Amino acid sequence: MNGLLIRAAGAGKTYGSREVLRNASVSLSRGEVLGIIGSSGSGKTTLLKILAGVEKPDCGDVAHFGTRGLVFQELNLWPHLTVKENVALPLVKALKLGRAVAEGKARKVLEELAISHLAGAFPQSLSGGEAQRVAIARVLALEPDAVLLDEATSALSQELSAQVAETVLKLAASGKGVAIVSHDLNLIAQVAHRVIVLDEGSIAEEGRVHDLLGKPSSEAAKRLVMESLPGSACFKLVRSNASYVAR
Amino acid sequence: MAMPYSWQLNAVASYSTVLFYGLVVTVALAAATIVLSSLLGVLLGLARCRKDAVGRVAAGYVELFRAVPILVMIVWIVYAMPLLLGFKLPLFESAVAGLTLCGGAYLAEIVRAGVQAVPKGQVEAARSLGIPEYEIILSIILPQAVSMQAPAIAGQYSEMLKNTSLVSFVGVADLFHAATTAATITFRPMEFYTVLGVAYTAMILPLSLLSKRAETNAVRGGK
Repeated sequence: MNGLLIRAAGAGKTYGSREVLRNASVSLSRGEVLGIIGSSGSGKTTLLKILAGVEKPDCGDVAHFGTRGLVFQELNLWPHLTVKENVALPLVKALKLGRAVAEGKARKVLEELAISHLAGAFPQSLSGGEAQRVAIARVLALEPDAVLLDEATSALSQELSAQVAETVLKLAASGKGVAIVSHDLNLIAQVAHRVIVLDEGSIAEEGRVHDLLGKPSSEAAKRLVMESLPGSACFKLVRSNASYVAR
Repeated sequence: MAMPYSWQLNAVASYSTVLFYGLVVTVALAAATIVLSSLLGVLLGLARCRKDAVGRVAAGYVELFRAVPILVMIVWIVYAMPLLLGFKLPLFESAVAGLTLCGGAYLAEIVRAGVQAVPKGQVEAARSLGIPEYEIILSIILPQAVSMQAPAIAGQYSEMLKNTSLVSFVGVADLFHAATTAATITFRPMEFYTVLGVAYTAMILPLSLLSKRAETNAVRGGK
């Protein structure tokens, strides 16, 4: 496929005796936002980590055709380093940039995410939303071809969540591929082009965002959509499809 | 009723040069032991965190060298090693080797605990960002492990300084050796051992204060 960045075919993962992912085939291309949804424990994070190359699948294949950056749900900022150092360290140690160049680049990314005033702060002094944006900045500074976000807006207010949505759309517009795991179906409805619904480790449904959220066919997807808040962007999508609401 | 003791500190003053040379040897021993033990402790501590053969060898080393009394180790290196292995280290180097081999084992456990206290997610994040393994150890794991364990490390350094007094047993002319010799010649053990106590306390005190400060910083950093 043209512009293909990641392709997983039949990927599976087992932790101990628990099979957390089964036969997952997923692709991510340039300029695309892929939403991954599912209830807790459905295997979303495992799938995202496999797509990022952080976890190796026990079976199946994963092929990467570009650089990737993963924003972890736990954020995993380094507490002994300032915000600026957190963003600059991978530039120095992974990309081997000079310290001055790396810090300049870090400052630029922090400015883009409106957190340049936090450059000298340590992670433990940040709010959840600020820390989340630092974790995103740390990945974006490396300019990866694919950005993978695990619950990137879970600690954010609605306003900040909208900012992340805007960032995601900008990234996709600039030709990056974005995969986003979220419980927030509103965010998915706003930014995703394609959605994958995971249920107990298997892909229950996959489709274009409007089709899938507007007219879910799998039980797992219906459940998730019905749980979304009335009045939300996602709920409006549901309402726009009378046949589904009638059921 | 105890007789009042008549202190004769001029006996100590007349041996001040000998004591000073002893002090220099003690400081040199402590410095060499602390530096070399730290290197050994970091390497062993990191190795201890591995689950492969390297980890098991490191674990065996740590168990063995924590079990052997330091004095036995020093005596073994000075007297047994030349017989068994056919080469003899100078006395000072033998003493440093004995103190380092045991001190490194204690520091290894402190380093291991620190390394294992660094959340795995931080390492996972570093790997996902493409940072090479050795840089992850140097830039992310060790700074945090050492900072978290700073009070324990400072405590171990104090122990190492005190343990240097054991080398007098094999004839290294350290501060303890100098004081013991002078006390024997002058028949004034009270004066010399009291001065000895004061001297060791004066050397340990900065390390204790450093330890307290490190503890305060570690608590602050953990908030």
